[in-house]
Amino acid sequence: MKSSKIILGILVFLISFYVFSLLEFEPLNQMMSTYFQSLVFSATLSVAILMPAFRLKLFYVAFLLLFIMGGFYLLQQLPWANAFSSLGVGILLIVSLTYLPELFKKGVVEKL
Amino acid sequence: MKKSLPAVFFLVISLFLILIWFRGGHLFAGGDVGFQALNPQRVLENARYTWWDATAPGSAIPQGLSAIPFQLSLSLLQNLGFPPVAVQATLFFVLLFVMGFGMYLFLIDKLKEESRLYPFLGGLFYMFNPYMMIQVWHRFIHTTIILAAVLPFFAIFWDKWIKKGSIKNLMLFLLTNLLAVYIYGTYAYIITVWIFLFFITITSLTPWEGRVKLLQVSGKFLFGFIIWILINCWWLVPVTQISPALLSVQHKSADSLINLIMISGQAILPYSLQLINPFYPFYQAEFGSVYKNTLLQLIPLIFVTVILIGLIRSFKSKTFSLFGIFFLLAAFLAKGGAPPFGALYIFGFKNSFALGVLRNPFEKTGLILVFFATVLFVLGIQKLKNRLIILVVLISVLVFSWPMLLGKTFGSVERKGDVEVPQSYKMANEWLKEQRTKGVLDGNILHLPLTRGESVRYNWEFGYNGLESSDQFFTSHPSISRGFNVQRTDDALTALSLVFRKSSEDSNKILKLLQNFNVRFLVLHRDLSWQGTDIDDPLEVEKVLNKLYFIEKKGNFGELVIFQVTDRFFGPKIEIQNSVSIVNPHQVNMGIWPWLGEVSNNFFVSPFQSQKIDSNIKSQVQEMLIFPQNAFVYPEASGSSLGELTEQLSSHLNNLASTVSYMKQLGLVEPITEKLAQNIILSSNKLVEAYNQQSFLAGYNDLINSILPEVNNPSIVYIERLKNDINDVLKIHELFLSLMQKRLNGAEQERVRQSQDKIREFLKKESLLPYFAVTDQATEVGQRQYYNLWVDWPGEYELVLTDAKTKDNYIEKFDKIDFQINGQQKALSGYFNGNLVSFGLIDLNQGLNEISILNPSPLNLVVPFENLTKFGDIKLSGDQIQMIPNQSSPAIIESPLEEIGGGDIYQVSFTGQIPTNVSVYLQIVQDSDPVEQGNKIPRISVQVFGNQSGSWQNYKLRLSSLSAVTQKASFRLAVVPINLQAFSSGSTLIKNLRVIRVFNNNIFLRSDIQSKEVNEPTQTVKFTKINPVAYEGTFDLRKPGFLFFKETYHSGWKLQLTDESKTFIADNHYLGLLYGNAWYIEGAGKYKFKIIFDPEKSFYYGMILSGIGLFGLLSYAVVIKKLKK
Repeated sequence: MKSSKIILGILVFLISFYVFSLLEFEPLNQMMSTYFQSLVFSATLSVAILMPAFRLKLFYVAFLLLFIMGGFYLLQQLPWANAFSSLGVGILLIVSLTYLPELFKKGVVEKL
Repeated sequence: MKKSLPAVFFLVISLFLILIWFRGGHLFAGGDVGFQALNPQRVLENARYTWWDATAPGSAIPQGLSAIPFQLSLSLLQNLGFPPVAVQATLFFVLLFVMGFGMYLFLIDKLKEESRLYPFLGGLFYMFNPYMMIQVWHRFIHTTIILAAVLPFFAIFWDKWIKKGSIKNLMLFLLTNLLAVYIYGTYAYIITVWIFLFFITITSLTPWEGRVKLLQVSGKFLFGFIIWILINCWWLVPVTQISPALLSVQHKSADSLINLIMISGQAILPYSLQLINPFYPFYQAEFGSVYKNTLLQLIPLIFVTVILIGLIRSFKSKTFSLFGIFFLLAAFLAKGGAPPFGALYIFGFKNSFALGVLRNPFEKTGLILVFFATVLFVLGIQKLKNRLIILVVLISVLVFSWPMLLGKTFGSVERKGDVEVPQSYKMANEWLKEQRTKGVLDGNILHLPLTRGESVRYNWEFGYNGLESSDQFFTSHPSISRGFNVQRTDDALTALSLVFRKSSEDSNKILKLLQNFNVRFLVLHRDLSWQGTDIDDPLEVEKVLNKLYFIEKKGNFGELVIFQVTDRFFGPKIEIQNSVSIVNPHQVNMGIWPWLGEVSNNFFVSPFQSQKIDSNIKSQVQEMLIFPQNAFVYPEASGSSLGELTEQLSSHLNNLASTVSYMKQLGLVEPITEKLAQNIILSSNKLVEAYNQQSFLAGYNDLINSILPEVNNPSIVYIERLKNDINDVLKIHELFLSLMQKRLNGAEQERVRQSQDKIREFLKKESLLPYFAVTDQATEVGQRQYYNLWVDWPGEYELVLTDAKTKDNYIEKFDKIDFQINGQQKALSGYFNGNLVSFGLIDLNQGLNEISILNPSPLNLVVPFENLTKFGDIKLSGDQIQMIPNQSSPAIIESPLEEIGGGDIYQVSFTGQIPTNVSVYLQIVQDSDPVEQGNKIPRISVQVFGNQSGSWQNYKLRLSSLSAVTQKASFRLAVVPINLQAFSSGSTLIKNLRVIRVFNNNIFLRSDIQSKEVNEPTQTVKFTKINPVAYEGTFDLRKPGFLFFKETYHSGWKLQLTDESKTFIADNHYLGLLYGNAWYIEGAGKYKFKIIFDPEKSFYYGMILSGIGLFGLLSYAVVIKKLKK
């Protein structure tokens, strides 16, 4: 990987970590540290931008988290279900938004 | 035929549902909307004007205009002879059909496939998903039902307008809007609809075709938006002119924020993704406990999986490429402040009052989520292909929606939603209408018992629970039947609500209130479910009514009894009066009203907000009544009472800690708030420690410096709920620092003074610091009552104490009370006059005056042991009461409380030896407490525990205030085993048990200005009501006086006077009778007058703008057509 990409990655990670931390409202997220969540989200954004080939895998990670959410939900473990769904949907949204340039350019995503 | 098959299919499904829902032949009503289909003509009559007077004393409801097309449609059915049930069934049938078929049309247009299966499945999913069942039909809010029905059509027409520039589709969109304009009665839906249309617009930009396309799309969006605004000006202009002032009175930003956070806690993603609001099916189990079954809970996860498959597919679909992202964004909108990224919402709410309309985001924006979820569901289903799996998914969706299919979606398991209004209501209404035809035009109908809230329950055979709807049942005259959520009006109505009771039985007071509220008829509802609510027992009210000399019983209609105020005693809607008292200030609480009736027969006039009454007018009134503009308690302290002060402090700190901990469980506490609470506790500990050890106050100053700015920091969520405790703690700090200063000197004294000054400054800003503090004096209650009174004209005023009947709770019975008036100690003797005690004339300065009262010595209200009501094993040994509960029975003692009143507060103290295996409950049992399975459930109840050592311990607790409607109460002490199974034995010893009333009586000042003999006899006003926003008439004014108009005060009410020479608008508009309107008219003479609600004009201005918009649109259409040719 080129050094410029690494620098860009670090920059994206740091800036997005700061922004994601600001966007969290801690009281309604009792099971997951907001810093941990922001860390995951900024890592997701960095990977999705710098290594687009991994985006499909990130989708799978998001679905896995939502699957775990379903399990906790059925076991009535709502705070955990909430934490996992929050991570899952957050990753889904971040990765989906990185497709926007392609969606606007071509109208579809040819290869996820 | 083949083409119309889907339509037929959706018609059949809708018809099937309607036949099931209405198989009992009953109307559905309740919730926030009451009876929508009962009498559409009546609603239409009200909706035509921006001022609604049907629910007296009236209010501005400009958004009601948007109901005109909807109610007009329903009233057409009514005119065709449809009974209410048929009107409602037809409405629901149409809406159900439009929902499913609309979604089908959108999907068939987009999918462009031969197979109609998937669009059809989409239509079905849109009709039968959990959101539609719970949030749309079960919630029963008609604006939401209609929005759900028209949203697909909005998408169809708007999409075609944006993509093709088809003016026909823009017109169709605007027409759909007009037909569904009722949805905007919920303001939030303006935002919802335009967010949705914005999403639909964005889809036209993919794939990117350059800036020109962007400009074209933006232009069409803006053109459509501007035309929409112009065409909707007929209701938008009145709403923007009138509503903001009303909304700012009804809602506070802090409350909206708290609501948002509470509701966001329910709208967390595990529920939002499933389109479920858990409150109704899970928390309240309104469809029964079946939804708690894991198998049933699994079903929504099946369609969520299908939606997620659809989400991935959407990226590869040319038509729906952005729908996956829109679905996720809609989920973010619907979940509110829940994670992730919830802070955006919180930030918006903290900084914009207008966003408060979205305080229930799942309800207000959830339909956008449902729309996109439906599209993704169809994409997901397409991927499944296997018909069997599709069938399983479809069946599971229908199974989850079983209440819809079985007609059980309305109401709840305990309270069915189907209602049948008894025939007696119709008969009573007919009788009242007959009176109108006989010429009884003026007057309101007062419905008793009067609720101060907005909803009621009737115990009819098919009972009702929801918005109080007497204005729908009784159409001859306006009905005073419920509160308005506007404090000033509700306070005034509270007096009417509480006056019909034995304890306050005073026929003159009742008459005065009836006249002040223009009451002509009284309808007693014996069928009201009153127990456990804040309204009186109808049978007790009836006993009072039967004794009143100024009303006549006119008849019984089933459970309704109608009384009429005799002509001689009736108070007309518009009156000229010279017997006037100025009441100041106007922003009083409900505590004032009963005393106004007690103290004076005059009419009341108050300056509104910052308005001043000039001395010219002062000379025309008879008396001045001044109520405290601020009342507060301040802790007492003396060298010997420091221990007590420390106990008070720890009690407030415990409250603070437990409130924070409770709020944290609800997800309502931000770290910054928690830190603030911790700092307050830490600073208190430091203070007490420093005081006790006479040591240096290290670190305290820094803590106080960090605490005080945060207490009023608007960014701290939920601080309002903590503020009372924080203020109480700071008051005690101030006292401690004051005592510390006396024994310190030099730099340490200076340091203490700095902290004290900061706290004093803070308390002063909060109006909680006495100007003339009393030091070195402490009573059993440990606090002193302070009152701030603003006096415009210096002089002598009579000092009056309210609630004289509470005198029996005190040793000296108010014969003599120690006052401090502007710093001067005065022991004044009281003279009893009804329920008031006068303490003679006192001299007061112009400006703010402070009066405080030394707590009168209280009597112990606990009756002797032999007179106590006892339950269980209870013995007296010496001065100790021994209470021994067992596994089958608690040990309870109960003592009646005499001469009580709503709002009374009691303090309980005792010395106890309480084992650790029991807890002691201190309760006040009120006659207004709810009853469950034959037992009263006390609303005032505090639990205390023993200590491990089993030693004697002192307890002192102040209980919450009694409910406003309470007339009988008793004190109860119950010893209850903590763990029944593990409990073997345990004896609790109690001694020195004392229950005292905490002195909290109000005071006011009275000053006679004119002799009462100079009154002119009442002058008659002849008037006609043209419509709810215009009255006209004549009067002959013999001397300067006040014209009273008994409709809720609004600055938009204008009095136009015409004398012999000119026509002019009266400019001295005051608050009359503390809720209505009053104008001062200076010149004597004969006048013609008009009273008009000026903001009504905005409707006509709006109509003109709508006309311009329509003309512009049509012109544009013609030009485009010609250009094309």
